[in-house]
Amino acid sequence: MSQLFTLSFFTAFLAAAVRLAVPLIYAGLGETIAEKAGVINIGMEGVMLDGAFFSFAGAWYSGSLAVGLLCGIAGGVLMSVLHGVICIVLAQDQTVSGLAINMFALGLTSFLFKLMSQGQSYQQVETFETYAIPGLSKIPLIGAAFFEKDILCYLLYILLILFTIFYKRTDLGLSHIAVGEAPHAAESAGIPVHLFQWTALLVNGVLGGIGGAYLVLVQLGVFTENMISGRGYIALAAVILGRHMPLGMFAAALLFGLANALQIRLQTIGVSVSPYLLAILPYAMTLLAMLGAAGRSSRPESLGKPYVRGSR
Amino acid sequence: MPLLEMRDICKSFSGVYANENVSFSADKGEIHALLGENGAGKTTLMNILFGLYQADSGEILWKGKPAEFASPREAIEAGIGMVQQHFSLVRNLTVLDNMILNYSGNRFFLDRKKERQKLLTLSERYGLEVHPDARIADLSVGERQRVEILKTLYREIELLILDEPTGVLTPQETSQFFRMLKDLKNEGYAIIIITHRMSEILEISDRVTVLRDGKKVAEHLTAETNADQLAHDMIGRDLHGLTYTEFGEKEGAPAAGESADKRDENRQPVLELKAITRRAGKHTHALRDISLCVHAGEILGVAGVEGNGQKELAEVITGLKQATSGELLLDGKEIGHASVRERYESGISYISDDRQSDSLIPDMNISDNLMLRDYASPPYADGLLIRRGAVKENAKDKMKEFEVRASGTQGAETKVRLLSGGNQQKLIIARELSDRSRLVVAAQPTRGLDIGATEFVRERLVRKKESGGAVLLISADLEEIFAISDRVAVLYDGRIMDILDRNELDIRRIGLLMGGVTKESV
Repeated sequence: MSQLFTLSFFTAFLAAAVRLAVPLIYAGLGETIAEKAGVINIGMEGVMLDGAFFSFAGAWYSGSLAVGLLCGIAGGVLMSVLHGVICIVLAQDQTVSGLAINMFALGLTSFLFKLMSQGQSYQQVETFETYAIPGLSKIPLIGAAFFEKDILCYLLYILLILFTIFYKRTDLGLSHIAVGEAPHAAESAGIPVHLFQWTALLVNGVLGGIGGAYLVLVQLGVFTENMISGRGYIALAAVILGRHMPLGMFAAALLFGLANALQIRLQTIGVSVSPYLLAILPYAMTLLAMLGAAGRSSRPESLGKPYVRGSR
Repeated sequence: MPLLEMRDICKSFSGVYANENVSFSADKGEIHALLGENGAGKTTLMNILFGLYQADSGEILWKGKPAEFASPREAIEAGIGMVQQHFSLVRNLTVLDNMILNYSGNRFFLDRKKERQKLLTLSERYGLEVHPDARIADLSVGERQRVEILKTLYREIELLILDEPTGVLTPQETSQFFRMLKDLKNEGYAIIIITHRMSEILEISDRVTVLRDGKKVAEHLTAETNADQLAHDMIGRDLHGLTYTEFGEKEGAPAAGESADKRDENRQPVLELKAITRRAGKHTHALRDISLCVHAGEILGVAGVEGNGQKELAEVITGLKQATSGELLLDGKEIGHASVRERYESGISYISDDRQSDSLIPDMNISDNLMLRDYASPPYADGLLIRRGAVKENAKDKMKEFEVRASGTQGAETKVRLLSGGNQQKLIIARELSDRSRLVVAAQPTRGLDIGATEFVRERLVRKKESGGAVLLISADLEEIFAISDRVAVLYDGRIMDILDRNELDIRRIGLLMGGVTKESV
């Protein structure tokens, strides 16, 4: 057990946590943006799965990571556009639509993957390289975890900061918040509510798609059926726990990453607890965290309610 | 050439005409009043102009050119601003953020410091005091109104539409508001004001257009008309007088003649508050040492500018909030710790000032809303089940008795959300003023209602009192307080400044008390 307490153990532990958290943070950021504008996308799991599959297919057939990434983004956007048509254009129930999207994406990607692989296994694509940032990556403990990463991870840091500024300081950001809080008031102030919701959903698709693609193009190099395995839902939880702000969500997602990393560590060092029980850890933590956050809702007031123009 | 001309506007909702061939115009430097009962189509007409609805037929000329506003954004860009009756504010944002929301003067990055200064200057200039960093949800309805008006003035507009703007203001605030409107008019603004108050129309407007049942029935120059004619145009019948009591005048008032002392002697106290105190919360106002008594057969008016503890007073009595200390007695029994339901069952009814969130469930239908308070007891409850027959029966009776009209074909199945404000209020009254209610706490019961509905509500309150009930009437509308109260308490900063008898009422004195000025300090 003494190996638990060395610096190198903690360094590796934190690095694993960040690694596990990045896809969650991408999806969580996308979800934050959609929810700010009043559209809840429970279908994040499906968006990510689509992103993962199409990025894999794109990279496999073209041999190019960039093409793979673009395909992943397109796959994610496809799902959120579907969600938008149902929820914005047809003003249907957002929860039902989101769940349907998850099922649909699972079926679609499994089917297409079968077609593609034709029984061959172990198809692998190359992955994005990591670049250590000089100086920063040498910081003890956190350097390797945060600053010895790939380009998509660095892009994520920038996006987190940009979106925080967007909501706190910009005209457009304020309008987006108003759309999710009070669409009728926003419309009266001259904000085109549906247009804003569409933009938010498109960004939701792009970021969710990247979140899925990240698993394939950065971490694993392979696609497997249902490989998102609940990450989309955890991202939803991170958004709530992070009080619907990008940096809060970032912290919450890191927490889940830590829980997951811990669970894996404990398994590998052979703690005498059933691995199945350990595997529950991140999810149990999610529930606990939600309990802790109860009563302090930051939920946009009109979240999940379809906005129909001219209705009372 | 008028600034605005609307010609033969028609608009129907599911086959029912809301506007039928309505023509309307507005000029620069003019205040044009739009008068009509609820459901007469005033707001619909203005919503069409403001781009919230599209007309089915007819045309709009803006500065002489045909225009059609597909959205409020286009209307605002053209120079039309509107303060809606149901506020268009974002509750979870601050006053300042609401001000600058989608403001055309914004750059990509918000300059809150500069805009804050502009807001403060504007609010000072028009005497509309607001706190830039307060969250809208924490403001009283009256304060929100101020924010709404400022928000419109914030944008460079030429035509200002105001939907029932003075309903929540004190007389002092109203006259200040009118001075502001006159200033705006002299600066060249065109102003359209939707109101049902005759005195206001006669005082402020240059022209009046009257709508009834979606049709334009009259247009007058204000100088050439009078209240009687307008009232007749508007409702097509004469009124009884509860609405028309002018300040100082006492006829038509049911309590006239008798002295209050004499009444008190032979009347039982129904509600007694003894030194009720409640600490101010983050979002609530304080109550300080409130002692008062409402007798059977009496209407006690509570006057005061909103946000001085009215809401808290009503909620402490009805049980929605707890007092920190003090005693609360109903018919001599302590009820300070009773639940809302227990209090209702022992006879406390509540007409809230926020009917959509406190009194109704807007997405449920009329018959269900009518039994919200009694669903668990007979005749509605039958063990675990609800007897739909009894519910329907009740709805039918109440709708008839209280003249609740549901437009459309669904009758008692109509969602309450789709009713006009007046009909929603009648529905609440139908539920709350049952035979067993001993005390009615009525907060701003006629806010936003037209004359017909206002008169109806007041009549019902008076009838309650005449049948031996007690009424606590909390209102920011002095006209209303004067019209039907037997005694008047003035609330300021959570304190009762004074309680006056009907025969001591004097608008100036009350106005001073409402502003926190007592006799001693004058």
